[in-house]
Amino acid sequence: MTTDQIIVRRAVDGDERALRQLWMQHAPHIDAVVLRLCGDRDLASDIAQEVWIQIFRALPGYRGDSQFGTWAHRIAVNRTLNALRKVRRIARVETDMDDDGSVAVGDVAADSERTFLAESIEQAMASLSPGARTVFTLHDVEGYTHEEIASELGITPGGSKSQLFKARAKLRRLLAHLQDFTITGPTPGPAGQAHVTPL
Amino acid sequence: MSLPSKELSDSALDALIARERTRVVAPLTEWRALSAQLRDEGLIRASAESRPDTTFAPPYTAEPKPRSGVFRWGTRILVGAALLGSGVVIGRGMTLGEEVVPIIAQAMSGDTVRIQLSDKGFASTAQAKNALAHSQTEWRRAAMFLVEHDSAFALALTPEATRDRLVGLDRVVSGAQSALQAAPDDPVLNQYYLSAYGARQRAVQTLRQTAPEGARLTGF
Repeated sequence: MTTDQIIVRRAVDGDERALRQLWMQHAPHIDAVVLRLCGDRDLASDIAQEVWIQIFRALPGYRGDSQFGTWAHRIAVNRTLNALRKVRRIARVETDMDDDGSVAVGDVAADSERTFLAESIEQAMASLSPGARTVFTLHDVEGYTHEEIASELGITPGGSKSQLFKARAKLRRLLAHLQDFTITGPTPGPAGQAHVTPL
Repeated sequence: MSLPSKELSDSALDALIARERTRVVAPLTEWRALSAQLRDEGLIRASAESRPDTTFAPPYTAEPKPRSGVFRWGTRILVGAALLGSGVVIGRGMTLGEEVVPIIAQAMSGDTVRIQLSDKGFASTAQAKNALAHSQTEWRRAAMFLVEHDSAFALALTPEATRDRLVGLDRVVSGAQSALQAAPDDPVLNQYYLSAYGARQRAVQTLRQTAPEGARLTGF
């Protein structure tokens, strides 16, 4: 039995220490997913709370077939998408792809000079329409297929591909100032080492 | 002098996305708010609430808890059980139940208290522990006597029934082990573990003895 499984068993039994340990270990990854999908920290904070409640509610159903983090990750994505639907952000997925004027390229470029690289990406992603951001995040970051995305969002695979194409095109423009950075700038930390973005 | 590119290349965007995949953030929620809701929903049990919360510090830097005397007591019992289970003590006439007695007695640091069961209860914790060990030993001896002398009891221990029993005992042992992770110094949990573990070993032995000639026990 793995350490995670032992902790999960204790958590299922209502042990606060175990529940908190799971939260502390996995919140940095799970909350990052929520934040990426929401594109707004206030909203993401509200939804993250719902996500974690849902994860803990579902704990008795965790069979240990996959790693706890992977299992929780899936719940986080599903719960976040459901929550976003409630706030009517996903409803505009097929229609609310604004043209590039919503956020000026210059604004992001100016910000990037004084902010961390990750914040530039976060801001650029936040400037996408909710639907485009969701498709981009699910496909390019989370590794979902267009068919899976279509099923999750109630759109067609073709619609998902279209949203992704538009999202990537917009991000390439919004992040153009990072071209030199990504080629010659500082490289990320050692392989597998994550970096934490402070609130 | 070249003009800056107006677009990021696809490969550069992919590199940024790869970086984004590994990005983590500080938790967006506070445990205080989360735990309050978990309590409201009954997902944090009252018994667990009353325990001191030692996970406030990040788990990676948590210092090991100081071990109490009771913890050492529990550990010694578990070590004793493990030794028994690993075959250090094997042989006819040296059954697990009989061997547990000196281990428990040793774990009690030589406090010899005469057992005086009465409606008034126990005079001390040492007396209660002694009574617990004695009762458990008697229970095991009675069970083993029945296995050997009671045909009805023995009939129930067919290979199939024994295998089923082993599955159940394994679950009990596993559950007790998990429980001991949470409360390693709980004497009742230790007793449960010992009882289940001893019964399991006995069942394995019975299965070996009753297996058809030429058959080999490869599991358990």
